Amino acid sequence: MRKRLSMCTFFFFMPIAVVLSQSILAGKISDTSKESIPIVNITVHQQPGSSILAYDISDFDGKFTVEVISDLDSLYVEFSHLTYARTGIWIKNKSQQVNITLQEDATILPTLVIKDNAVRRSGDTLEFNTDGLRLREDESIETLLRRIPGIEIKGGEIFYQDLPISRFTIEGLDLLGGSYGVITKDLNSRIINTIQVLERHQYIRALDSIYRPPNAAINLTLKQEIVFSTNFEAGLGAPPFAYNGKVNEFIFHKKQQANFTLASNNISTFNRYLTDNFIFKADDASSPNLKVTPTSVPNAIQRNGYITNDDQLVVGNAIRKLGNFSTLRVNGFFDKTKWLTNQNQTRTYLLPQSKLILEEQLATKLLKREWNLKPNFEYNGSSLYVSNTTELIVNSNSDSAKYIYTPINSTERLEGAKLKVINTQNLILKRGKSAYILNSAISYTNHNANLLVSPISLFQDDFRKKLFESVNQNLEVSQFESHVFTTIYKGIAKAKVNSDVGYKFRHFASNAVTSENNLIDVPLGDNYLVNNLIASHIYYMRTFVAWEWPKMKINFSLPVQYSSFAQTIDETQDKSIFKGVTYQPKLYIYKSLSRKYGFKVSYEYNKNVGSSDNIYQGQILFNNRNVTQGNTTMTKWNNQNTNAKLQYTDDLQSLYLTLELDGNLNQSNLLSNNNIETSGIVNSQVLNNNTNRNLSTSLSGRKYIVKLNSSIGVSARNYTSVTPQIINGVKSDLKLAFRSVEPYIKYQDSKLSFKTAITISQLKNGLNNLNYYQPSLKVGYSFSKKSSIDFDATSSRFSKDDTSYQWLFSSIMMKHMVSKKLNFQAQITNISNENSYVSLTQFSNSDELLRLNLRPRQFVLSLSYKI
Amino acid sequence: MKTILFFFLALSTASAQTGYVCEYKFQYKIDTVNNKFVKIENFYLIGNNGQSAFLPVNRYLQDSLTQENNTYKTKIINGMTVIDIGSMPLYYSSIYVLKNQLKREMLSFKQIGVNKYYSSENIKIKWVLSGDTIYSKKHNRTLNIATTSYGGRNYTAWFAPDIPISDGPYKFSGLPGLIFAVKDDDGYYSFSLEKILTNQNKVVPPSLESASAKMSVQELAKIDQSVDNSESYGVEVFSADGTSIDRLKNQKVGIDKFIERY
Repeated sequence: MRKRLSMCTFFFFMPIAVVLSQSILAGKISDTSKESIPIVNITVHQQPGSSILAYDISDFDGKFTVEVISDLDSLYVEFSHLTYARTGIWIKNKSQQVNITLQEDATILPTLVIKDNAVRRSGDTLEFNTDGLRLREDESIETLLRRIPGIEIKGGEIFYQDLPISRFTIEGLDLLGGSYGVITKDLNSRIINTIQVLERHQYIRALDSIYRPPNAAINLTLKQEIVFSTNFEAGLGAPPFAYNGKVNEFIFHKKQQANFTLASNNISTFNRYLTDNFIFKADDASSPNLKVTPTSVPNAIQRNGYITNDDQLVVGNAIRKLGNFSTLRVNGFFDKTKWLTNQNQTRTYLLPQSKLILEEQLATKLLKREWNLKPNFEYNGSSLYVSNTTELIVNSNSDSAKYIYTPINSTERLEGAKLKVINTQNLILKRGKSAYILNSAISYTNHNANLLVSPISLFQDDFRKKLFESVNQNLEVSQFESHVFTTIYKGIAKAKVNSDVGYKFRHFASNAVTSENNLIDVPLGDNYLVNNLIASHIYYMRTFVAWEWPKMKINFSLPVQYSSFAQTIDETQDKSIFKGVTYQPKLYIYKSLSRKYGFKVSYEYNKNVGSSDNIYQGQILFNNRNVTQGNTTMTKWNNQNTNAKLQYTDDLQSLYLTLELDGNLNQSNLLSNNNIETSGIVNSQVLNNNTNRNLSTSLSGRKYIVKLNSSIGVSARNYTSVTPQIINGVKSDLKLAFRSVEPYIKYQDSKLSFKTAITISQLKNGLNNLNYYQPSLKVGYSFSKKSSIDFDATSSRFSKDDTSYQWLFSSIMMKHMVSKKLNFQAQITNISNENSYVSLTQFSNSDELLRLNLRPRQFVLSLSYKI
Repeated sequence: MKTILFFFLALSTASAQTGYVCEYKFQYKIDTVNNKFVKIENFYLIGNNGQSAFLPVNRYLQDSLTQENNTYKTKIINGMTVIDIGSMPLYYSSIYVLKNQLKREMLSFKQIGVNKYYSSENIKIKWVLSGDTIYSKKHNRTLNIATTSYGGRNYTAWFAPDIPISDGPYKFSGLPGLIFAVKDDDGYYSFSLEKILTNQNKVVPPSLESASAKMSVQELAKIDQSVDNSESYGVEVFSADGTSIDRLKNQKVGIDKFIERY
């Protein structure tokens, strides 16, 4: 058996032995002075550059031996050394002596530096190297952010894994207080070294080990120690003389950063809306826990339509790192705005029996100045967090308006001034695994307004209308609010106790004096009583307790409020309208059923002075990250009011379906007394039955893409109400809209795109029907990646009989990128003939349609330059 | 004694023009059972005239500071001059290998506390060329592949025949081209070339033979094992996904506090 196996083995390997022969190459390597060269690499190849068949390294005496097993006739032997020229020779494939002399020639080593990996994860931090994300040199930070998996940017806001980011910082410093648009859009990504996504980021160090929110934060690291960035934008136009200009300067350093913006124009754009580093929001500067009720000035002038606008804005933001844990930030701005309107408008009043048309002329002028200064000091230590912000807001308004319409010519003048000071204090103390949070806010607001209207026709108590030559209304509102909000975390977010103690004082005085020097007892505007002095004191305390488990939450809150409200009329009466305690305990339990579904049950009891309500609520929540979100709510009050709401929203399919039933049902009264004297009210509505479907199809080749995106939507609303005043009122509107059809054709770098839309609406209100058509067209053509032109046009008509069916070419905009830094833009707005108009339609509360004539065309050329 | 003389000779004749300096990233798992944590440290391979040294970058920098200034950096606290250990580059790995290609010999050094040891062995790693080449995206270069067995483990090396340096990280050498990466088949140890530093004026560090006690390779390996098992201080530990447990920082803070206190 063994013999047979040996034979087999022999015959099996025999062919190889025959084909592959073994050669031994031996030799010596020396230099030109016959000195032997050690450590020379000797490699044997089939041909130059091919894989290595065999190799050796010469020894101290320059000797080498290579065994080659190959069937080749000839072999290529290569000799290489760091300080000698690489040399190759052809030899016969046989055992032989190979001696060679090498010429001195230093090998130049390649410079090799491995770039950092494009993505690196360290704990909860994902770090993206911008070099790995960038495709072109001139790309903005926003473009790079869009390439990061999980990041979406919707309307300038950054989302990470469907949640908005909690902070956006550069080198850990939040210069713009969350208004990061100017950084992501305008700054070139070349200044950035890495983009860090800090998942579940808890900015406050003292809370880091106690509570980590689900939202992520984004931090950018700089490539250089200090970075300057300047953007210029300037434009000129006519007629009349038009200009716009903006300078935006950024200085970024690891320890201090600053930004300044100067912007001015008279082309009817409000700089604060165009300036992304404008971090202030009107009447929303208070802490999240403090809501100061805004006081609105009577706005007698409708400022819809085309407005000539002068606007000058100065914005300054600066932040400095004072130490490892503390920062000082100062934000401020000054804004001066002048609005002017001078136009004719046609007001169409649709009354049940007839159509009344009034011609109006309107001229308004508003001069508004606003100062704002907001310093903030922050200490963010490992066990102590302190933040103090004081915001000072000063506004002054000067507003005048002139109406000319039949039968009354009227003028108005409003002078107003507003002072607002808000101080907010946040203190967090960590002790072990518990944290104590104290937020306090003190706010003071003083608002004066003086409105002079002349002449004016006012209704009297007996509903007679009387014409006064002039009426002067004085208004003063002052408000003081103090607020302390405490939170206690116990354990690791297992139990949370909030309590909120506050005091609010509001002083409100208003009177109206007619030209006859009489105090009149009629209101001017919804919010303004006449000659009233109202003082309210409110003390409140809210307690909120929450227990949280991984799949369950229990929340209990107990707000208690003591209010005292006094009103004085004609300075002779002191009538206390309300004084008492309100408490509204609320309890809800949320149980997560799965990753997608959860169930929430809540109970609420309202106890006011003299009345009490019970509210039971059940809700099923669907949480499927933007794919399906919906809830059903059923509410029952103990006084037989019912409310049921079914809402289904599917963002992915753009299908919105909401069915809401709201009834204040008193059935026995309704059935027995179905007439005008019925005290019961039936009000059921089906609201916002919207559908919106997106259709998309495309055809593409190597160089071209033809794509059709379309969106078709139907919305309908109707409701029926029975009230003592209206026997049967039915209102409905139906809107059919091809919301957009957006085909485009792309061939290489050029792209032709269309956006068309048509809206057909029918409004029905009692006996009136109104049909409304509005087609619009937008055409864009990009010649290349650098140049594009956009063309906008809209048209509308109101019925078949409407003869004013015309197109409005609202704008043509040409853009050209001259270089990476220089951009050119030309815009022609409102190219129209004298009969063109803009339609403003109010479907919901009024049947009034307002059409305004526009100013003639305007042409503006702009250049922007980035440094 | 002959070896000592040889290394001093090597040091004195070192020439920067014909030498090479490569920087490798050394990554290894600190626990063969729990794969979660790996150590990462950068090493220099400094070679010249057939001799080369492989040692932590920070060890090289620390030695250079000491040699160049002949003193440690100091600072004055409470009127006393103390060594500013916090300003010194720290290194963690005790790997220090000197290779002599001419003598086909390599020395491994180990320092434990104040005690220094070394072992000597011949360069006798036998490589098997696979004949395959692979394009390394990281290094932007085509590399050849070779395999070997050493110390009870199987290793794969990727080398560049167009760079005529038959050297590599740790104890690996003897391939007809610079070794760009070496990895053991179990994935516990890996060396990867990060930089080839040109125009560097670095000399091959000296041998520590004269101040060290000679041991066999096996004895030194045993010491290695015991030290690695107990060594947890001052080591930057990364989890497999890169999470850094910054012990280095803690250690530095501790040292700084210690200095301030005294």
